[in-house]
Amino acid sequence: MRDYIIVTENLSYSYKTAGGAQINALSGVSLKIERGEFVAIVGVNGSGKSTLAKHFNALIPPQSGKCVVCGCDCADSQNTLLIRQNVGMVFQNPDNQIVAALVEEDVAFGPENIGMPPEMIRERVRFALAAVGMEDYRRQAPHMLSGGQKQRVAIAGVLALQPSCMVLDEPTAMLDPLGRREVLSAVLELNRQKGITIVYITHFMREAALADRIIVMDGGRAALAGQPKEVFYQAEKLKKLGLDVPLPADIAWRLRQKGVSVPPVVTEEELAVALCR
Amino acid sequence: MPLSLENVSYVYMKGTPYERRAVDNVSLEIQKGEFVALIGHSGSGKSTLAQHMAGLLPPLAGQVKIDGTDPCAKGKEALTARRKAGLVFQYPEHQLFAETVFDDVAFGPRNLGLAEEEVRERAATALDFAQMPIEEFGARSPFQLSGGQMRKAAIAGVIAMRPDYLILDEPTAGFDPLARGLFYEELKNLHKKSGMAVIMITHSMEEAIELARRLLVMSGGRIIIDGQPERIFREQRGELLAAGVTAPAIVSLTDRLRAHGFSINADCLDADDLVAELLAVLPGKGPGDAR
Amino acid sequence: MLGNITFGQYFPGDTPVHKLDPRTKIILTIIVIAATFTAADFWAYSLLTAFFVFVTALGRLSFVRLLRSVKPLWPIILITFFVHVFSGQGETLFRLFIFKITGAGLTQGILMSLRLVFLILFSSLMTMTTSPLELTDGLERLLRPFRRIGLPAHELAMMMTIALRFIPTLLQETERIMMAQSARGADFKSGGLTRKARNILTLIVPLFLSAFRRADELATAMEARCYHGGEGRTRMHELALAKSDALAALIVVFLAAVLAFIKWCG
Repeated sequence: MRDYIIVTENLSYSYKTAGGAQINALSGVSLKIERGEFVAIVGVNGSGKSTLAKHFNALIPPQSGKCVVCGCDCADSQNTLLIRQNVGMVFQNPDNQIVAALVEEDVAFGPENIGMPPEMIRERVRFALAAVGMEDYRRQAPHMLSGGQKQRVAIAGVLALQPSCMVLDEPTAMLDPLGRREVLSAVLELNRQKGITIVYITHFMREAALADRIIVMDGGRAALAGQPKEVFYQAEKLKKLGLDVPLPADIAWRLRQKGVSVPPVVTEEELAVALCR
Repeated sequence: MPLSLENVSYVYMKGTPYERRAVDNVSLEIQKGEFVALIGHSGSGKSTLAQHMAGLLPPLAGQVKIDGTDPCAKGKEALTARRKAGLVFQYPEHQLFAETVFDDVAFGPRNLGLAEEEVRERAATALDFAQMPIEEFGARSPFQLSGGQMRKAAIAGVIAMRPDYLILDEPTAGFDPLARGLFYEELKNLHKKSGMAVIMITHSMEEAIELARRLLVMSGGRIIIDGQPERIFREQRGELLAAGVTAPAIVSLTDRLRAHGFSINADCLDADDLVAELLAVLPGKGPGDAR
Repeated sequence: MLGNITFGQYFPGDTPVHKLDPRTKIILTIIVIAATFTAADFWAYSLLTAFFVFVTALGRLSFVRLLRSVKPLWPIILITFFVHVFSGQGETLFRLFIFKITGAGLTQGILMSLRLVFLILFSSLMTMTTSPLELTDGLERLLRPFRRIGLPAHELAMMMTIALRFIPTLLQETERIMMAQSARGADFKSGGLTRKARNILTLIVPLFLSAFRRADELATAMEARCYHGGEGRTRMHELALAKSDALAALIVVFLAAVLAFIKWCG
């Protein structure tokens, strides 16, 4: 039997705007995320990505449908703390998720909340900062760091709780290319080396291309899902949804339009090899 | 007359342990009607340079001149010069303050001391750029708009000043691809229609190529490259890489394909060009061949 | 912007004064200040001055910097001085306009101003050698027993922590918004009163909105990291009293005893 860490069944969520309009942020989303997987969730603004992500960390209790995380039902508030220890969450704005005025104090915040002994907290802080390459900055003030560094501190803060899964909600949207690379390689390493399940929400298709699986959200539904190759093969549909396609996949699609048969590709190398044949 | 910088330098927190040189002896000239992209990684000094250009931050050394006048000086002339340059900061939606979209966009023109009629006319034109007709959006609260609309309303607030030099600091940060594409279409139209110079700070080489006829690359507070985007990729690729600027995806894909033995033109900067080149060299699949 | 205010600023160091437990420093500072307020003659103040010099030297702090911390509070000290001088009882020394100045009033004025100066100096000694975080920690620990009578010790400390974290961020933001509105012709320096007020509004509204937005996002992020109030919370750095704390306490108690002796038996 497969080991699923997150399972949603027919999950729906709606709310009223200040203007009184009813917004269906999620309508009937059913998906399964396996332990150890790296899943990217993509979609334009307002497609329901963030609302979905907040369910995984029990920040939003399900209105209708089911959300089961690590075997715990999110609807039961008794499970909330356990779920949050197991599924960490990193948000878009690095400035607004750092609590303390010192890097190491901030990383310690999570473990302190669950009442860990001081000795163990110090050990976890060391481990978490080392995992994102920020150990030299532990006595620094967060507002003196770059965006990428702040976001890595935020990741360390989540990591210090040793979660089995990490949900990142557009962690690179406010960063420059350098910061994006820093964060992405830190996340990849956590997935590959430490086996942490990653749910990665992004606009950047180049980042999504690195995932094991991509889920495309549109209007509160999961419109497309599959391996990057399969998803990018449907370039036309993605473009209709207002999304990019990585260039190699786009070129392959354009060649197909001209009658050239090209297999599904994601990377430059794959395209080059496919065309050589 | 142009917007010019002469040996401009700036240092943050001078005389403290946190001292940081942001702009280092920069000289350049921008003519009315140009579309310039300013690129460089964070901390390269782009944003500081933009503030100098807009006359908002007096340089520690060197001179800024807008149409021949120092905008940082005192007096009426300097004020006039300052108003010729409009700077849109990063995340400009965070500077909205008024009760209605119209009042917010009208804030600048009213500060210019214009008659209310003229103010309304300018606000309407500026909101047209944002594709937010004044009849529909003018009376709405800016804080109940969507994120993208808030951003565009804030930008309209600067455009309503009718600057000769419009400087935008990463105007599409955080936009999804759809919104980004639409915004650039609108910006291109505005540039064509108004004849103002547009100076856009960006991280993306793709955007720079698509929009600008001139590219400035900044690194360590200096302008290290100043030229036409197409030529820069051909002639100064090494410098670009050294400045930490990523080459556009199309350049690296073309390189990769050439390395695999495809004899295609190295200067493709457009997906359509690349496809045409590939069709010409793919055996048995050229445009003339029926499949 | 706020760079020249010395009062309350922390100067990192590795001296015995820096290393004292923040709780020790808070309590001992209160005792010393209380002692200052009982001191009423030349010998008592000489002793206090000597003690001040001793701690400053031990903490490797600059006297000039410490004295500068008194500067922003000069007006209050002056007002205190004159209020006491003019309201003194007893024999008139001389007259100034409608005021009569008495010997007792003059003594009282000097005494009260001196006490205020020492109050500022000793509190600056504490804040300059204790990081804001340690101070918050120490306060929380000290206030803990009062939780039983409904004092929200943890919440107060958490508020201080978050304020410390966000003050620099909000200052940066203020500067940015100010510039952005200047780019639209706002003038924060000149113009009439109504115009100025309107321009300030263009700064205050975005700042408030931004603070609310940040607070909202921060609250979500804190919740996501298992924050659920002070219940069952531990700390990474448990405060622990050391021998040096006992020694410091002894010195201060001795000082207070001598001051008491001077006052009541001297």
